[in-house]
Amino acid sequence: MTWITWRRYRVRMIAMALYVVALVALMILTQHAFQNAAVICARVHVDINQGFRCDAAAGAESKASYVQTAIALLPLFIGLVFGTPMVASELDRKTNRLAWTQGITRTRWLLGTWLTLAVPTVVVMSLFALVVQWWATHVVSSISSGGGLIQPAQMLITGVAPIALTLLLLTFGMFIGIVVRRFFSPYATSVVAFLVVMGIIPTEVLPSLAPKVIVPTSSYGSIEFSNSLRARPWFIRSSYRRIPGFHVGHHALTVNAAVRYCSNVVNWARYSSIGKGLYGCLAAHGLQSIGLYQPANRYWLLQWREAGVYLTLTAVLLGLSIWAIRRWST
Amino acid sequence: MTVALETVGLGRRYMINWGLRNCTLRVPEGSVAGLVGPNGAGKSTLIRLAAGLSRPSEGTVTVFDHSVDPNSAAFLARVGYLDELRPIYKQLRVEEILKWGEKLNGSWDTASATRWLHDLGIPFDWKIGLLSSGQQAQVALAVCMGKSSDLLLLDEPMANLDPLARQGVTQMLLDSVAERGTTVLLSSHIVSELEPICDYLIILSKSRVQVSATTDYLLTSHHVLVGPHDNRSFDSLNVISSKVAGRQVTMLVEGDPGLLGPDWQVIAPDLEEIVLAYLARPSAGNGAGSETITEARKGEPS
Repeated sequence: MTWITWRRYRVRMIAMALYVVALVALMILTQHAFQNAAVICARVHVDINQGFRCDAAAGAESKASYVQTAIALLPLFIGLVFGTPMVASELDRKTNRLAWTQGITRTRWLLGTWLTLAVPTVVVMSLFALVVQWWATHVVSSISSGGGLIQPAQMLITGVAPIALTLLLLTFGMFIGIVVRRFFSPYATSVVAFLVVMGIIPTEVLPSLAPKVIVPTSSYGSIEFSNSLRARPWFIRSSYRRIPGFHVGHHALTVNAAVRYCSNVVNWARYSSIGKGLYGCLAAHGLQSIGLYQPANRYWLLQWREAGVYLTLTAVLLGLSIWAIRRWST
Repeated sequence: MTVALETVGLGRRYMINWGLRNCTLRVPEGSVAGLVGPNGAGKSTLIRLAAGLSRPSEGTVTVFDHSVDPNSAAFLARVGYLDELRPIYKQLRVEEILKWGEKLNGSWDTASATRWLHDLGIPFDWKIGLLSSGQQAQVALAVCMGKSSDLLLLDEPMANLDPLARQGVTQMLLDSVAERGTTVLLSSHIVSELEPICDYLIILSKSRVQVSATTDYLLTSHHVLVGPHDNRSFDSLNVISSKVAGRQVTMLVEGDPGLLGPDWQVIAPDLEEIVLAYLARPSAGNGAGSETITEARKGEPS
C-alpha cells in the first residue's frame, strides 16, 4: 500500500514539498526585510517598537502578511491535493474495483493509504511548524501592532494546531471524496467544507476552549488590564453583563433591552448624575460593559486544546470513512 | 458435488430499475461456466455481486458455502475478479503492478502472472498507460491470474484481445482448471469462444436467468428440425424458435423428437444456435417480456 500510494502521489508530493520550501525561503526573506526595516527606521529616529511606523516597516509588514496567508492555506492545499483524491480518484477511475478484490480488506486498504499520506504530512508539518514558530516569533516581535502569538492570525499558523488541522483536512477530504459522488464535485465541496472548518473553529470554538477573562470596560479597566500584562492578550469581543450584586427589580429591563435602550444617545442625559453617557445609562440599569479576553499565557493551553478538537474530528471522520467504504456497493 | 457459486432469488436494484432479478443458479466447483446475454441483461451485475463489489437488494449469494463478505480476507483470497472496464493503475510499470499484486495477495503465483505476459511479449519495464488497450487488458488479466484464486469471475475476458491472445486466454483458463481445479465464471457476447471451454452455460435475459444448464445437456437435448410447413403439432416438444421459409419450416426444439418421417431432417445444433434461439425468444414469443421466460435449469448438479 505504502509503495503504490507513494507512486501515485509522487509528483504531487514533490510539488507540495517545493511549496513548503518556497514558504521557508519567503519566511527567511521577510525576516531579513524586517531586520533591514528596523535598521532603516532607526536611522530616521523612528523606533518601530514604540508604535510608530516608517515606510520600510510598513512594506515589510505587507510582505509578511502575504506569507502569512500562504502559510495559513497550506493545510487546505494538502487536504485538496492528497485528501480529496485519496479515494475519489480511485472511484472515478474504477481502480477501487481492482484494489478491493485483492487479498486485503477494504479497511486495511483505506488505513494503509491514509497512513501513507498522513505520516509524512505530520512529519513535514511538524518540521514546518518549527520554522513558522521561529518566523512568527521574530516577525511578530518586530510588528508593534502584532500583539504576540495569541492573536488569531498567529494562532492560525503557529503552534501544534496547524499540524492537527492539516491531518483533519486530509481526512475530511478523504471522507468527502467517498460520500460526495453524484451531484457535486468532491473538490468544490472540499474547498467549501475546509473554509467552513478553518473559519468556524478558530474564531467560534477556539475562544471558548478555556474560560475567558472578563474585564469591565466602563472604567477603562480593559486598558489597565492590558497594561498589567507582559504580552498583549487576545481580545475576543465586547459584551455586557449585570453588575455583580445589583438588585434586579420586577420592572428592570432585560440585559438586551437595556443595551438597546442605552444605545440611543437621547437617553443618556437622564443618567448624567450616575456616569458619563452610555456607561451612566448602563450603570443605572445594573449593567456594565465588559471585554472578553484570552491572556497570552494561555497560548499553549489553547493550542493543545484546539489540536485536540481537530484530532477528535479526524478520528470521527476516519471511522466514518471506514464505515462508508465497508458498505460501498457499485 | 460441491458448489462454488450459488445464488438464490438474487436481485440488485439501481434506483428504480433492476439490474438483476430473481436469479437462482449454481455453478459446480471445478467447472467453467459461461455467462451470455444481450447488453443490459445483468451479466456484469451478477459477476460484481459474486465478487462482493455490489450488495444484493434481495436474495443471497454464496461462494464455497459462505455468504459473500467483501470485508473478509478469507473470502477475498478465494475469489479473483476481472472487471469489464479493466481498471488498472496506468502510472505503474508492468513489473510494478505485478509486485503490487504480490504484496496484496498471500497466495500470489508470480509464474502464472509473468508467464502469460512473457508469452505475449509485453515489456515489463513499460508504463501500463503506454501499452495498447489490448495489452492493458492482458496485464489486468495477468494480475487476476497471479492471485491464484479458487473462483475466477471474469467479465468479458476476451474483449479487446486479438485472436491469438484469445486462444492464449482460453488455454490459460483450461490449464488453471486442470492444474488447480479452479472454478471459472466468465461472460462473453461471443458464444463460439465459450463453446470450447465451458461445461456450463447461463443465459441471462432482461435481468433474469433464462437458462442455466450444462453444455452437454443443451447440446444433446436440443435439435434443429427442418421439414414441410404443414401445421404439424409438436406438443411433446418445447419449441424454442420457429422460422418459416416458403413451404419449409426450421425449428429449434428441446426434447427428443423421435421418428418424424422421411420429410423431416434432424440436425444437431451448435451452442451458438441454441443461445441465439433462447435470446430471441422473449421478444419473438408472445411479447409479454420477462415474466413469461421459462427457466430451464436442467442438467444442474444435484
